[in-house]
Amino acid sequence: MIRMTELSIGQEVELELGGKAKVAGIIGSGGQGTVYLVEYNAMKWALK
Amino acid sequence: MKDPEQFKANIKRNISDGAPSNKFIWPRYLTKSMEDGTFGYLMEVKPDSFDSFVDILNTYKLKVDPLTGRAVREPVRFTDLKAMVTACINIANAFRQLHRAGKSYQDLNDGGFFINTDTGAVLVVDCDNIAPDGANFGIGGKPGYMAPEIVRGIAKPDTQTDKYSLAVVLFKLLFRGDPMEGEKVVKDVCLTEAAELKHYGSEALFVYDPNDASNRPVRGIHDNVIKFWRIYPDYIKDAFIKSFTEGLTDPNKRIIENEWQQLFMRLRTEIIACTCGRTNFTSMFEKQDSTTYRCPKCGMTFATLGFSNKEYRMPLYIGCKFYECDIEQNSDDFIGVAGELVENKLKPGVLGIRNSSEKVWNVKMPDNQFYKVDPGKGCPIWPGLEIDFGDVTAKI
Repeated sequence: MIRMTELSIGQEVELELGGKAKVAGIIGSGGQGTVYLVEYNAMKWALK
Repeated sequence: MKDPEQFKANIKRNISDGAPSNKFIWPRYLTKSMEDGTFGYLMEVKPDSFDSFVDILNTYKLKVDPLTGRAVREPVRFTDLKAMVTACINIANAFRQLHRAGKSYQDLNDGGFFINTDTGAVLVVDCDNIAPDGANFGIGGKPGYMAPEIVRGIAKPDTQTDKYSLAVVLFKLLFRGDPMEGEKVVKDVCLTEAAELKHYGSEALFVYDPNDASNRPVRGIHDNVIKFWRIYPDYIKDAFIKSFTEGLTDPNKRIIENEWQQLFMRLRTEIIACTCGRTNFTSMFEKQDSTTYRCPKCGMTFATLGFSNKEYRMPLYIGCKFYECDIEQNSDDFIGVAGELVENKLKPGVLGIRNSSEKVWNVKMPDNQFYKVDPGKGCPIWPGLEIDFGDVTAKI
């Protein structure tokens, strides 16, 4: 797995399909990097 | 990572294909690549009602108290034996669905699952290495879960190596220990990379290999494995013996997912929850005669129901259930309840089977005549009970 660059809360990440996901928090981090809680299309998602 | 672009293209293809079932927390959207070339993907958030497999094996999880900021231990245990066995059925079924979709997981380990300990529902996570069978983008796996041929460097992960890792996961869930860690491994005080290669690769030896006792579990260190090996019926132990003896060197001898699923469906059927509090498999109850079990603690007896499509019988106790797959020949539905043993609310002590399915049953009543039993209705249990479900029949 390619570890994604570290993100900060409030940062926006562009998606390939268009639109942006906004980082709302950290769900967890471990051997495979950090999983972030993000908001996209008015829903909460996990971003790895 | 062999080729980041290929890795990304694979996730893109998986997004487009969709998840094999709702048991997978599957990648849904890709992010654009960042300036340094890294990227990520969006997936659904895991529900709070699921605990990690690691926490389940540890029997606790750490939760931060919001008032003090301190981490406190919270127990993580299955509500009952049925939930744990249902989790095994679900894990086997998830990998059956994945492999039937022509893909392999490649990195099956304790970090790849979340389980609802009340119901046994399973969610497979970390799905980013899943690839069409035969393709590999650089992942090898986690020590202790990898098939010996990967540890030895002579094979890459595929569906056959997934089958080995699946057996390890199931063994750890049932026996709470490592299938290869016994006396031989303990003698190597420090598990170096070379020792790991030996014990999990070139010289891997199952702790209960019937032909070689040199790696048996050690009392005081592997107490869980010793304790639980005694409890499980032979057909479960035989499946692990096959997986970790013949299946160590010959991937074709490994137990396939559907076989695991059938074995654990049988194990779930063979649970008895006695009113005295003893809950265990029929193998730990006494057999009064060929169709009756007896509780060794309180002496309570349990009649059994034999289905025409099964070689084994289902013990009858209040709350026991059978499922759609039990009454329909080609059904794979092991979650949908078809029937349940209940106590008559108006006549305590009178037991009956409730038709929880959507089919009308044809049931032989105590007057030896057959009557229709509609969905939602019940029939009394008596020594001559026969139920005709259509495809399948059952008799006491």
